[in-house]
Amino acid sequence: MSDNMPDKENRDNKPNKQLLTRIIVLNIIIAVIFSGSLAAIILSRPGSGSSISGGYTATVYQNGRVISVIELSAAEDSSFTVRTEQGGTNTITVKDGDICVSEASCPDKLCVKEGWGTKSPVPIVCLPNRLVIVISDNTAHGGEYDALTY
Amino acid sequence: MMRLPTKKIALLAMFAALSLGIYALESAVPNPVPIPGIKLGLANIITLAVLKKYGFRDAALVLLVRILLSALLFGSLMSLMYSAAGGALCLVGEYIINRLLSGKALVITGIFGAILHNAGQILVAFILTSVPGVLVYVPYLLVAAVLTGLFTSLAAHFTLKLLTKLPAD
Repeated sequence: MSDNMPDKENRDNKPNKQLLTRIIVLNIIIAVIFSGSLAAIILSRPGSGSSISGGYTATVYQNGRVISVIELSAAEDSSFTVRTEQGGTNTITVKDGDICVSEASCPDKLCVKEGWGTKSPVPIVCLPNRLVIVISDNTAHGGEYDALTY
Repeated sequence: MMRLPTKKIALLAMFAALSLGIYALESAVPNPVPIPGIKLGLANIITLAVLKKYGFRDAALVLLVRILLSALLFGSLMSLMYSAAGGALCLVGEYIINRLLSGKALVITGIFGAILHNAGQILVAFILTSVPGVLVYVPYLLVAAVLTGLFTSLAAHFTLKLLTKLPAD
C-alpha cells in the first residue's frame, strides 16, 4: 500500500533490517508480558477445588490503613458504612460468608458493580473513596500476594 | 503559543469530537468483563490514527480535549486524574514506539500504548490507595491491554486506510 505520508523518516534508506529487528524485539516483549501475565493469573487463581476452602478473610482498607478485618465464614450478616473525610460513603454488606459494597457515593460505582468479593479474582476497589477490600483465602498461604511473585 | 491553521483546528476538533463520541458510546454499553477498569478503549483509535497521520502534538491536543471534556461531562476529578495518567503515558509510549518503527507496524505501537495506559492507571490506583493488594490487578490489566491494543490499533489502521481524503498535513 502506498502510504502517502510526509516521509520525514525516509532519510535513512537502509532501515529494513534495523526495522525488522525492532519489530521482532518489540513482539518478543509483548509475548513475554502477555504470557507472564497469563501465567500469573492462572497460578494465582484460588484453585478449582474451592469447595474445600477454609473460608475467606476480608481486610478493609481506607487510605491504605486497615480499618476492619472480617473473618467471613464466622461473621454474622451485617452492614456498615465507611465514611471519608470528604463525605464520601461506602456501605459494606457481609452476608452468607461473603462481602460486597452495596452502596457507594461515587459516580461510577465500580465497587458496587464488582459484586461479591469471594467470587471476584481481584480486590474490590473504590478509588474515589480510597477504599479497598482484599479477600484472602484462609487455606492458601498469603493468597493475596501470589500474583506479585512473577 | 503555537499557531495552527484554521483548517487544522477544524480537523483536530472533529477528531476530538469523534473520540469523545466514541468514548461516550463505549461508557454507555455495559461492560461484559467482571473486572473493573478493563475496557476496549475505543477512543484510543482516534488518538493513534491522529498520532500516525499528524504527529505527537496534534494527537496530544486531541487527547487533552477528549480527557478534559469527558471528565467534565461524565466523570469526576478522580476519573480525570485516572485517565490523564493513563492517557499521557499511553501517548508518550506510542510516540516513542511509532518513531522506533518509522510509522510501520501500527499494531505494535497500539499494543504498547494500551499496556502503558493500563500501567498508568494501576499506578494511580496504587498511589491513591497505597494497598499492595491492588497490584493483583496488574496481570489482568496487562493481558487485557494486549488484546484491546491489538483490536484498537487494527481499527486505527483501517480507519486511516479509509480516510483517504484527509489533508496530508
